[in-house]
Amino acid sequence: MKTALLLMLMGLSLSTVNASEEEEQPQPDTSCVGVNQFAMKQGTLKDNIIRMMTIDYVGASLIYDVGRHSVYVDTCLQYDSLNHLVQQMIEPYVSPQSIYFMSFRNNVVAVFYQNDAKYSQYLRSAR
Amino acid sequence: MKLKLTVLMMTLALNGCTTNPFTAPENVLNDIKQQKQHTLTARDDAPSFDNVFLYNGMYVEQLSLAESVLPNWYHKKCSTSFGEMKLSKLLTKLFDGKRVNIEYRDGVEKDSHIKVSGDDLTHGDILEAIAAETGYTFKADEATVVLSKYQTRVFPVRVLGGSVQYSIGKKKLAQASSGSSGQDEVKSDLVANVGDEFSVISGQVDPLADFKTGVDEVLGCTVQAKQTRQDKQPADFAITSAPNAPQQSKHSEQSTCAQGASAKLVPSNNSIIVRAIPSQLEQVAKYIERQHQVAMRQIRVNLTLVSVEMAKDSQLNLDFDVSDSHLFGSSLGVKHVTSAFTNMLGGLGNRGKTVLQHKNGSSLAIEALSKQGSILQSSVLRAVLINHRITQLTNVSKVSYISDRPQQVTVNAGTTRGIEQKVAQSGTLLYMLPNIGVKDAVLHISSSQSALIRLDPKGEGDNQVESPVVDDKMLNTSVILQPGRPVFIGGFSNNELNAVFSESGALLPGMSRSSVDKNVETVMVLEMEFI
Repeated sequence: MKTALLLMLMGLSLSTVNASEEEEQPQPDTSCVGVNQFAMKQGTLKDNIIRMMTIDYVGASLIYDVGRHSVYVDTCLQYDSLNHLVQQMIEPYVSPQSIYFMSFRNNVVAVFYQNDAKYSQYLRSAR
Repeated sequence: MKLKLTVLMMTLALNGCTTNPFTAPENVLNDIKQQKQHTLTARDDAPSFDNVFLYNGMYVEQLSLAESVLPNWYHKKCSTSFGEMKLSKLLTKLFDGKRVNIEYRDGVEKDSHIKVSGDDLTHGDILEAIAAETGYTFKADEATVVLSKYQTRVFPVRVLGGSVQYSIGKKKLAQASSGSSGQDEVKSDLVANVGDEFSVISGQVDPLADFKTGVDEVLGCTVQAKQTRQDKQPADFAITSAPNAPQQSKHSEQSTCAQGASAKLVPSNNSIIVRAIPSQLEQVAKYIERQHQVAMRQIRVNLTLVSVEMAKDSQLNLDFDVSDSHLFGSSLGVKHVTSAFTNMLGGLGNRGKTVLQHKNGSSLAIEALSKQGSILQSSVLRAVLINHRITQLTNVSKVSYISDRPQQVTVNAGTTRGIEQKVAQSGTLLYMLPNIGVKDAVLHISSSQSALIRLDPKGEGDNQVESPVVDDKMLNTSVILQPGRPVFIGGFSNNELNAVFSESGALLPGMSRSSVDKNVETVMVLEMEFI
């Protein structure tokens, strides 16, 4: 009887240890759905910008005047403000030229290259 | 009771009157200033991002000049539907009922079949669909639509026109056969040149014609020999020929280009006029732009000539480990004079020691040289070179000297001595021909230096004449230059007898000898930079 009790206790303690070990292993957080987090997904830059626009530029018209840039791998971006998020998204693309993002008062956003003559008049007085 | 109420009412009224409902202007102004400051701070302190902008205005689509002059019917919807039909029939149907004339220019096939489909198409949409399917271009105004296969464009060529002949190098030096010497010159056979050895780069180019050759290649032009029979015989010749004698024929060349394109030179304004389909014109434009980028490359070349007095144990080569061998101090008034100074440029130059102050690769090279010996003199020649064109620098000094004193007999003065003068020229001649790449340049340099060392007096008294001592050097070489990296392209070594004397001119007391043998190297350093 005592032996059986001891064996039961040992089994219980072993299972608890295993469970706690399993519980202690940290799980990688792949959700990226927290506040001020944006999941940049593998694909095209244009698709990611369109998804970004659902955060704050709802209903805005997008003018996409750059080439078919791609996002190489899924990335989770932390941001303080929407401009910060956009800056992180387009900053790495420097070839053939740097990419600029500009928002207008009439709910239009434009993505264009740094030396695109069409937007030079706006860059002169933009903030 | 009534009295109390009245007094109370009056008191309340008086309080209301004394309380000022209006804010003083100064307070309002202060509030406004604070709000402004707060707004400016919010604007200025807000984090700014290099790639993200806010434009406080509206976005509108801008019209180009061509779009702004399109006729009104261009944007009107077309109610007719089209299937597959001939081009001429389609356009007639499109402009049915409108006062629009359709012109078909050279190359347009009116009977080619075209299919246009779609809903809610404007007249402009249909014309653009036709242009996309056929490759034709159209020009539309209120009363006319002109369809054409070819466009004409003038391409200015920026390189200087005209035929350019060039040659760099020395083809023919003074010839002297062995065993004989001229009356005025004695030359060692070992340094004589009999004309078998020379190095010359020469050529003749026509830049505008070369551009045209490239344009012809882009347009796919081929030259075909065309034989034309010459049937009409000249009247002043009596020709008798056998019955089966072959007719005389004349050969002419005809150039034919792909798609019927053509290109012609316009030498008067240095341009090429091209008539081709739009895609060919774009290719020609890109070709000419690329050629301009190559032809218009420029570099600045600094040629520094440095005369270095080498220490004895380093006279065989440039040894950068040898310590500085500067002469000692000025308190004794000792000067170091060497005729190597005058070998630099032109001769009879200023003696002394100079140091370059500007900072570049050449000055670093000179500083390295100075660790090995005294820098006696240095000079810099600078030139700007454009791609594939020769640049020439010439610096010549002339000195007259008495070459002879011939005896002359005159009636009044008897026998006298006259003076015969000659001119000794010295200086530098420098030719450079560059081939400038993206990151470096291949440079052919041909330099001749003639230095008048001194004029030695010969003879005595009335018979004294002067004899120039001349030192000639020549350099002809090709080098690869990279920006900011100096290259030692050549040097000459002179064994010079240097006299050491005090400022007064007499020998320094205590000196056991008055001369020192020194080896002086004249080194040429080349450096380039892109402009």
